Amino acid sequence: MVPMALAISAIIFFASRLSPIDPLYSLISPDAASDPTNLAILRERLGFNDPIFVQYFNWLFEIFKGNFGYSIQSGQPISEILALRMPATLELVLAALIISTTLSLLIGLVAGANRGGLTDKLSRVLAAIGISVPDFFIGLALLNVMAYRASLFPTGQRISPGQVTFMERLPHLVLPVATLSIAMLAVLIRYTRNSVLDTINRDFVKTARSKGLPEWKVMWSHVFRNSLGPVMVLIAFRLPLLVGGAVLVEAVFQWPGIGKTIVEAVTVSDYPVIMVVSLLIAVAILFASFLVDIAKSILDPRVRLGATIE
Amino acid sequence: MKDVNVSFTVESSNLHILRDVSLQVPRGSFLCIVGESGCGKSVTAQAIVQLLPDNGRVDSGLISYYESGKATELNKLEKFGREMRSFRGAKIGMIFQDTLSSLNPAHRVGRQVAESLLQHQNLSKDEAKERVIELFRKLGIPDPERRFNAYPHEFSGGMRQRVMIAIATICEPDLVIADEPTTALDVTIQAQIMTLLKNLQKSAQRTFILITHNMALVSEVADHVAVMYLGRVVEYGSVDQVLRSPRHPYTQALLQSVPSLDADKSVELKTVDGQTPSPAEVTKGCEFAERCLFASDTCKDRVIPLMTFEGNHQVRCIRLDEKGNLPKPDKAGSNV
Amino acid sequence: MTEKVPSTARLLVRNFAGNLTGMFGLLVIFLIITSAIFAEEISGYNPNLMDGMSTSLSPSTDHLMGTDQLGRDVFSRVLYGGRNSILIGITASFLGNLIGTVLGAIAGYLGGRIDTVLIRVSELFMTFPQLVLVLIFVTIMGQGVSNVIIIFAITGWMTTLRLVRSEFLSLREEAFVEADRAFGFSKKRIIFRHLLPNTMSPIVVAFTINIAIYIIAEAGLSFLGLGVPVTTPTWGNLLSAAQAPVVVEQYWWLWVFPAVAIIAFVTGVNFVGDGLRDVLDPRQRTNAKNKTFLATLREKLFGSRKQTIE
Repeated sequence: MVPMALAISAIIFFASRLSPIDPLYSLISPDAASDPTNLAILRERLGFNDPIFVQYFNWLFEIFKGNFGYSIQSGQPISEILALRMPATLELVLAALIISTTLSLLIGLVAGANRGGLTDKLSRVLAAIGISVPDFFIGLALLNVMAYRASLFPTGQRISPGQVTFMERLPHLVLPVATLSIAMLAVLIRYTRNSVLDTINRDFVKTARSKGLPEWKVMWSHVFRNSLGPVMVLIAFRLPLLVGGAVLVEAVFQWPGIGKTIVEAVTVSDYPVIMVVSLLIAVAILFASFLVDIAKSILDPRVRLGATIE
Repeated sequence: MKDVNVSFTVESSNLHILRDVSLQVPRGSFLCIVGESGCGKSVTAQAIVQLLPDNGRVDSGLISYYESGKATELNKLEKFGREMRSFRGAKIGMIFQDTLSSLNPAHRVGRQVAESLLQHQNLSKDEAKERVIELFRKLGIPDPERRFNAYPHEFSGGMRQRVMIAIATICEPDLVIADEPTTALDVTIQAQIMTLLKNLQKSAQRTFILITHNMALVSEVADHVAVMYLGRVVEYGSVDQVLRSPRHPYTQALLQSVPSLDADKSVELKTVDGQTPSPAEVTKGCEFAERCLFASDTCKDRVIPLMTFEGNHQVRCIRLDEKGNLPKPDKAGSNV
Repeated sequence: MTEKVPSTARLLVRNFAGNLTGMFGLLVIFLIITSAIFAEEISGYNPNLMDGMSTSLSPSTDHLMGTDQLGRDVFSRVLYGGRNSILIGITASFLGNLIGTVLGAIAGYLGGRIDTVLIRVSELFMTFPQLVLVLIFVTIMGQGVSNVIIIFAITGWMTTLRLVRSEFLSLREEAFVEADRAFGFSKKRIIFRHLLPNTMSPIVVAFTINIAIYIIAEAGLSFLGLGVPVTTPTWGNLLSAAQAPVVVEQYWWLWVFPAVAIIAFVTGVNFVGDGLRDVLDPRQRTNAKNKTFLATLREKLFGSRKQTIE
């Protein structure tokens, strides 16, 4: 995994060097850049005359030290940009993740338990729609109906003038979170439902019933517990979204998060920003894999080490 | 069980799995239900506790449970209702075949056994734990205190089966149904488990129903034997009657095909000619007629009733005379 | 007299014809594609013609879907846009499938180190948020129709790879391959003549479903203004008008119609894909959880067809 993550950042790095924009400006502050005599010295010092591989590792090293470089477009230190935008994305994605995960687990359980019942059918419709409708369209539709026509919610942005506390800001969150949650829900439900269905047919459920346990206990204690596995994996791999941002939803609602940052950066080929963000995403993926391994060992005792009892 | 019919729906067609099955199991006796795979023996067990899969149901018949003079019609109870559930685990215990998949891999073993106890009796968690550990000890699970907290995959096959037996018997049920409990185990362990089961039955005067396709096991433990073929009981009697003087052609063929240590090794193993038809085929007469050496034309025409001979030896065959003997075989015997 | 057994192809077609959702989907696709091809005849307006006199008109008999701010007829733009979007979807899917099939065959058949590398790479690509990955490549390669197609293909080959690889892995052990090897057939021959034809069905299904995915992806990309430039209308392009809040609020016809077109087409494609899957992969057919909502609905309303088991 790690070499792969590095590989992606390396590719982008090399690609950035191919672009006509002088990368020097990405590594130095605008003040230093304004003085032309400095430039040659800086160029040498920052290793621009070194072979490209060395430059790449230098860049990585700088990242480790916390120096993320500067945005070519705005001249701002990238770390600042991230600090500014990250909370917004975290808010949005975390809320949507929590909501969609909980809902999908519950709905999946109910739908799987009452196979053929109303919940089951509804969830299948939702899943079918989910893959056909682009998620940002849901956002647009919601915006139009709820915000513009019904004036129930603000029409975008994260904050209105004068709002300070979280509770005041809350109305702004509702529609974007709803949009993202619906989009995630559509995908997750299919997995949770299938997982439940798979588990329900397994033998130990029969054993549980043969003990005379009430159905709700069978469902909750036995079926649900064992169907969590694959779902957890899925959710863990959605974590990179926390960094990558829900680009489209942020665009629809003008949400000032990482997604918006990425879009802006791509529009003007602001390589430094893109490189940093992609590296962060790659790191998030690594982190997510670790989480998956940990979760697996918690959920499934067979994964833990143990001796056989004869 | 009286005239019980069970069918399954597979791909929008009905498979008639159990046909007019009638069985009587006296309290404290050991019944073995034998037959080939697919003859419906497991389904019989499932039907008793109403644990048929979603696509199966009891079409007709009566399954009654008798205790202290009262009869409860089991198949009329609501499948997951309180009354039915009060039978499962507490009065009827079940032991399944595949222990690895029949135990919840994510729960500790002790908890799974105690779960049954806690469901039916008003005990504290500690009391339940003690009982479970005691039962483990009695069943021959070494180091029971530690094993209480172990997971199913940490056990060997034989030990796991003891856990399953613990689950089935912890509430001291009067009836225990074991569905091929030793088929997945190797021979030495098989013997251990069978001895264990027989002891369990004898010591508490429990009623036992053992389902198996292994005739050798039957001779060791059974009081009575019921032979099933394609969803019907074709022969029923005491273990002596069925094993020593089998009357139904199928039973005879089954017994002949069991290899025994002192058989004449120069003679080839006898097998039954032909293949077991699938339950989807509906036959008018005797299901075994196609492969039967003694079959006549009437055999294929009518529904064959169960005939009773001395000592309550029941056989479903019309080719038997009053003394219960078969005529000379019509087709040549096969030795392949 | 023996009945002539219809060829496999005939059987497949016949089976598919009986699949309600599949046929419905096919109908929808057919309608949309034909109208896209015959855009000029149907609409009567030049999609790029700006009529300053009739800007921002809501739908009327003159302009079925209204006009945009530059006076262009929306209906014809939707039709032309369909042409490009569908073209992109199909080409990208085909290309991506090709790459995935080749790589999957290699990975599945040769195994070992190559397999591990390919799997790792595909894993990374899959966990990376798709849109961000695409955006990165857009930065490197630039925009435009052909670029978009290539980028989609580069970022979308993973699922096909997995499919083909797993098929190959299981088929590899089958008896007839052993026989082939015993005959001394070259690896290439084994792969192409013997293994590949057996994996055709999942590939075809994947191809169909990928079309849907790419059309939605293109919509999102162009909505951000980072996909196909506005000079070539695509459904996504048309949607980018909705980036302006005033459009979302007041000029709904500018974005609702392209969105509906996308949803309709994608739903059609998905239905066809489901139908194909039902027909080509009988293992999945009897599995109730794969049945689409409509299929279940039909069964409930009209009763299931009686089948006899011989």
